[in-house]
Amino acid sequence: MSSSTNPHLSRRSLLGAFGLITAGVSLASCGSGSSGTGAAVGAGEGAAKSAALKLPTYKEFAGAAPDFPGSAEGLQAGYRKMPTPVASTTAPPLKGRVTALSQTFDTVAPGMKDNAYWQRLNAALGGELDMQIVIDDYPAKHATILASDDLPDLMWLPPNQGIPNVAPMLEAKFQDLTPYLSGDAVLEYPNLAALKPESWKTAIVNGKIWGAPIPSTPFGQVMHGNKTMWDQVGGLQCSSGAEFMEKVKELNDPARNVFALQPAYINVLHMVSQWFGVLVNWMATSDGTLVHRFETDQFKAALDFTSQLFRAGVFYPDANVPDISARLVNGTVAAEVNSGPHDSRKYWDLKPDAQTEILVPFAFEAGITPIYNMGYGTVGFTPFKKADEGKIRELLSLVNWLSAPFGTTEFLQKNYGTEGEDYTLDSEGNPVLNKSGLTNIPGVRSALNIMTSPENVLFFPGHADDVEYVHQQEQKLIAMGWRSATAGTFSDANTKYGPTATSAFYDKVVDIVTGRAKLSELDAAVARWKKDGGDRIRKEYEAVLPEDVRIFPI
Amino acid sequence: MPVTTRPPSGLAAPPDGAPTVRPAQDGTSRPPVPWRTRLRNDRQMLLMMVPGVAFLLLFFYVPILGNVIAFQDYQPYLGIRESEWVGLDNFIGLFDDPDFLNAFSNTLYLAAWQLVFFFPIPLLLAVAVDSLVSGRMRRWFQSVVYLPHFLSWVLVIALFQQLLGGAGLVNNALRHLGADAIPFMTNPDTFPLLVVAQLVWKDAGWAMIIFLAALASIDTSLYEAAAADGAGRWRRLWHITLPALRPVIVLLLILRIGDILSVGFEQFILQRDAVGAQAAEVLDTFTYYSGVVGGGWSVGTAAGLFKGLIGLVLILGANKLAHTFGEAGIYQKRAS
Repeated sequence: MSSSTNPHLSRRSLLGAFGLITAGVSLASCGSGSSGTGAAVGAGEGAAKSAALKLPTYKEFAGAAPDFPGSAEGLQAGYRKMPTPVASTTAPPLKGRVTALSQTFDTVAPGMKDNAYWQRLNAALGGELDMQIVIDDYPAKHATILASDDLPDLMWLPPNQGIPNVAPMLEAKFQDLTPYLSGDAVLEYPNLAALKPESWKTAIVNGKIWGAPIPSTPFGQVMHGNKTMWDQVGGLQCSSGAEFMEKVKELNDPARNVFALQPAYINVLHMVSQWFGVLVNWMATSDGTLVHRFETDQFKAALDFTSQLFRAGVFYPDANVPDISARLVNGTVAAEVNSGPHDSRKYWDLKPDAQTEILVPFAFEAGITPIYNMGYGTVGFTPFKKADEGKIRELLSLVNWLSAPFGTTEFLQKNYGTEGEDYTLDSEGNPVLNKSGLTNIPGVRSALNIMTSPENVLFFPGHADDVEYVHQQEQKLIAMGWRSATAGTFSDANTKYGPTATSAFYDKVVDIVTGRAKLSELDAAVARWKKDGGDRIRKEYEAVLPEDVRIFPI
Repeated sequence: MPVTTRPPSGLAAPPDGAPTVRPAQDGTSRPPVPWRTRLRNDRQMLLMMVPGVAFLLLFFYVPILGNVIAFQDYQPYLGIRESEWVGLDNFIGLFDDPDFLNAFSNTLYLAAWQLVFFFPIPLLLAVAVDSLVSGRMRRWFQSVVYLPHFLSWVLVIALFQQLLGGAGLVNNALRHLGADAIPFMTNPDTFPLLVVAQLVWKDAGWAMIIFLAALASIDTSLYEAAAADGAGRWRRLWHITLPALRPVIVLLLILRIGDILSVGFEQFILQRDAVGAQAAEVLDTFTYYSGVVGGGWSVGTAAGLFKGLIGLVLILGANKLAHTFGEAGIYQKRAS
């Protein structure tokens, strides 16, 4: 998802694309951990090979200088307005028809035959890009297509929707792209060479490159608050847990149907654990072992505090609320957890002058160092169906075209269509979709951006000052930012047992938050999580822990 | 129930397709009618059956073959032919899985609630509707009670949430009056009540229709005679209406028992977050989460197969019981 550059991506984008659970719903299944023993690759074996691979050479795209510079640590470059676009490719990439499976997180668009924007895109591509666009439940669709054995040429592979047994599946059905992309070979595809090495790590399994990564924001979840509401209690920023509790209680007014927090307990718990100073998942200790957040006393304390919030009645009282962002904008819910700082823009679709604040983690009490969890950084990669070299080169050219960075003509064509037909330029030279563009583009663009994307920038047409605000908050977050110790490494057990073990655990956590279970039941749930996969995953990740991993002070 | 079939003879069917009556069995054997003649005579009927049979074959019988993956470690990228056989491991694994056992016991518990509190209500409704004298009133009442059947579960639950939810009508009113809100929708202990209430609201009117049809078939002269003999309303209900309905009640009960582990899917998946998996996970949601979402296709299938087997045992058992009590049940052995 070219998230930050895309002003119209809907709020549903959170739900599917980002790992933690954004709607208060546990990600997946409750099931028994095990689904058998048939993995083709031994535990951890693939991960060791992955560490030895030569990553594609990085060559930055030389485009227009941003108004707010980015940084190697992940700070996103910000643009107040659209620079004059330049071309990044010389010839159309396609010779014929290419099929793809992707998912949209936006309003469904008309099909290719009735979609003028899509047809013009095909003309620019020089062939036909026939995407099958899934609306919901991508893993189920992915699995059924896989079972049918009639695969499309390109098949988006999300990293965190719980698609199981990734390694053996790739080996069995998809093309190893290492010879085409490793080292300097990638320079033939300049837009792919402009993807950062950190992003590429996501596309490496068993020591082979399986596709171009799809960078998203490097940031993780943040809490957005309705500025007007929080200003009444002294602002969203707090300096202790007690202050936060005081403020949410003051904002909460059930008699007027006003509630302080969105009922996404797992997400709020994630925010609270940052105030207690623990990472969202694996932390490396000085003796070379890994500790998971679930096992820490800090997590238990954070869970206790979250259940106190529940008892105080500050969560919206129904578990299923489809319109929480609208409620935030209209002042009946004060805060919501989103997938990243760039989500400030989603409120403008609901109310053009909506004003929100981004909470920077604070110490729950004196003596704690709060941290901020950086995100996964990508939304996975898109592997290619096995094919001959000619076809593979054609697909690589296509992905190269579709990964063109912000400030190129390809980017403009992909995200906004054709001037005069799909968009017009406003007084500042920013593209604004017209009526036909608004009908045809968002649903297709979302599907394109979830399977191919350049590195992201901050660009909010018509909200230049907010680019500056978000850029500032991002700097504060990065200063206290941590990545998971396992970011960029791979564990077979994690793809196999992780999703089910974690979701069973989260079921219990939600029970505890809502008072359906006692805090004392946490220990048993942690023990079960370890047994169901936690310990095996830990072992595999420990075996491939990079030498230079950042040691977490815990 | 008595079933009328076409005579298995070469008698020419009336051209307009009007029902024919089974000829008296005289015990003597007729010369067998050639296969081709029967085919020709019944071709319209057979043609009409083709879509139904094809549908059943394609969507019910062929997929049954897929159940073999319950005995495999099925991986979609390997397919059925190449996936590893693991025998009964998946079934053994199920019974070691606290989530499955929880889903199983929830299913039984909720099914018991449904059986006791839902099953009698359509019957009562039917009797009530039947006793309405005004035809207009009857039709109006009937439509009102069976229309909710056509609403999807999403709508039904949204409606309940608007009314009874934490931010719903009732709780808002309570808060205005200074009282505490009542967690109708989020209390796992009262969840079975909520589920049954939703089911009654949605489907009781629909289930009533079969009883109404049975009621319509009761000979009114029985009521007249009983009334003339001085039988009151309740005696007529007890001695005429209920006995007449008994075969239908037994039939529906058997069907319900055979299907008892299918307590519903959407209704539970939609409310799972509100009351937690501990209270709302049932076999069907378990199958979905562990099978489709979690990638444990084989485990999910094993759970589904297990559910089907239990259903089969129950339906045969209930039918046997019905026979013992002299009822027709759903099928009978042909008297030899």
